[in-house]
Amino acid sequence: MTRLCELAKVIRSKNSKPFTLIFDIIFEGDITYDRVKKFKAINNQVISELYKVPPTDILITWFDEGRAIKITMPRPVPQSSAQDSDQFGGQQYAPLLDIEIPDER
Amino acid sequence: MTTKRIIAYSPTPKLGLGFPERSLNAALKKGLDYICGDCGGTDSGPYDLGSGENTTHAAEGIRRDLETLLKVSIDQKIPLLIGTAGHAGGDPHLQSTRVAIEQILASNNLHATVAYIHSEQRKEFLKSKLSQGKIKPLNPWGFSKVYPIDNQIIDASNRIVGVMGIEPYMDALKQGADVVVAGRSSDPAIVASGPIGRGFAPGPVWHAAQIICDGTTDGPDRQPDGMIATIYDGSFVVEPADEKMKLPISQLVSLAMHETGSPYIMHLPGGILHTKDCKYEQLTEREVRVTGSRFEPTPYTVKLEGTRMEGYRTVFFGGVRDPQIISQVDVWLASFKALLEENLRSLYGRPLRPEEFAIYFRVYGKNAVMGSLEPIKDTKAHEILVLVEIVASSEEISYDIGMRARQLLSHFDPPSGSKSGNPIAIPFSPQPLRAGSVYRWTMNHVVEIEDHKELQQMFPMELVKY
Repeated sequence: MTRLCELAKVIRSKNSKPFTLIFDIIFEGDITYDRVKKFKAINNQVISELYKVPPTDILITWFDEGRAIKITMPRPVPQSSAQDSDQFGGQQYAPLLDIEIPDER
Repeated sequence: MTTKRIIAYSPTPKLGLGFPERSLNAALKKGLDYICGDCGGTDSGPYDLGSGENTTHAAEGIRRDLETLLKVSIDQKIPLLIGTAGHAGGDPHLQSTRVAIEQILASNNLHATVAYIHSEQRKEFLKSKLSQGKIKPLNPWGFSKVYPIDNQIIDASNRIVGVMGIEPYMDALKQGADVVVAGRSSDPAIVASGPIGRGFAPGPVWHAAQIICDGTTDGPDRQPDGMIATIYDGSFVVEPADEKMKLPISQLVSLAMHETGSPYIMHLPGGILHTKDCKYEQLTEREVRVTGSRFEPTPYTVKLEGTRMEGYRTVFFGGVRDPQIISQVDVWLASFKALLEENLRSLYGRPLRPEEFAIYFRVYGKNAVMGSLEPIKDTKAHEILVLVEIVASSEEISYDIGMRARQLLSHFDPPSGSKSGNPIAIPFSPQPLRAGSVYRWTMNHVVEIEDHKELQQMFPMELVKY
């Protein structure tokens, strides 16, 4: 098993307007991207548990041309609401760092 | 019958950030058809829209960028299109941009026809649309989380804008505007309006617009800079404005990830841009040609952004270094809150209602960044920062409670353990700090549009000849 943060070149989060949160996981090479895609370690269930969002409220797009995964979900609370902790949504990706990806057999 | 090609230049990610003169000159050498500048958006929160201020970009930077572009645009007869003026695109923002532009035109003895396009919406209009069932949640991905809308929410909003698409810009250009200054706009619409107005196929236009509308910061010196699109009827070529900057396909493709919910589907005013079947061709090391972009028209809707003023914020903060206090920080703060509320009850003769007073704690070093989503439940930090935030219905009450709260917490021991009598390390005085008005977003909705005439009523234009 290898942690996602050791495989991905970029892991980031951001608002997409005030009510939606998006995550990008971008890989350097085809081999790493293909391996992560093959093992389906990034899936609605895993993300749902990490972010406490129903699996049906998670959109995962495998962006082959960009060797990247895009995850879209409703923001837990609207930007700048009383409980909002992060105006840009830029520091919400830490739970993704430790997702474990199986090693190639 | 369309002209063969259109060259559009977006000088900088946001007007006010500046851009290199050499990039502007390189762009001008190509023979530009449009210069397009985006001034804002929602990234920095509802405060700018709600307050009518621009707290995101300094006035002097905006003035400088406007002056540079106005001079070039008028001198070389290149239409200049500016959207989401003043960062939030409301009427006060449009007005302050107009004042800056009028000063620039006067002091440089420049003459031009300027179109000002408003985007603030009347509540009566929106309530009428609501009663007809024409205001719907904005939920393109079909999430279960949906926000309410009703007359009360509309009335409680102090400012509501509609996000305009290409149509008001096209109308302005058709009526002879040399410069268009618009309120809240869809970023790519600022770029797309010129070419679509001249009959170019919308798919490639919208795609090119989406790529270039926010300029770039990927140049070698990471400074704000521009992007250029050469748009043909059916394809386009993008390149950086900086002649030395390269643009590999991988970088261009990663731009498709930027701020969108999906890299293949982009929801725009009036339709959806599909880019899944696009082909990218590296023409030179700095130019990429794109074919296959497809625009699917959908029933026309206008996105609404609304704000309401919730109160006034006062903050104070201090560090904690005692591990006994850190280990029971939540209990400590809850007891403090209870005592404060009791004190306020005595002071005011009654408990304060939530809309009159609220207190929030942010504990940095524990869970301030992710809140209830933080997976690490017990902090091992040897020091934490406690940020106390008070929101109250008037500025005086907010500050008064802030002062009382700071005094009280500064000497409030936790229920057990530490008896230091001085649990927080406040870094400087004066504290508390007045932190301004508090605005919240009120809606996440779109309004369905009947026809072009209704769009013109939603986005009224003033044409001024200087």
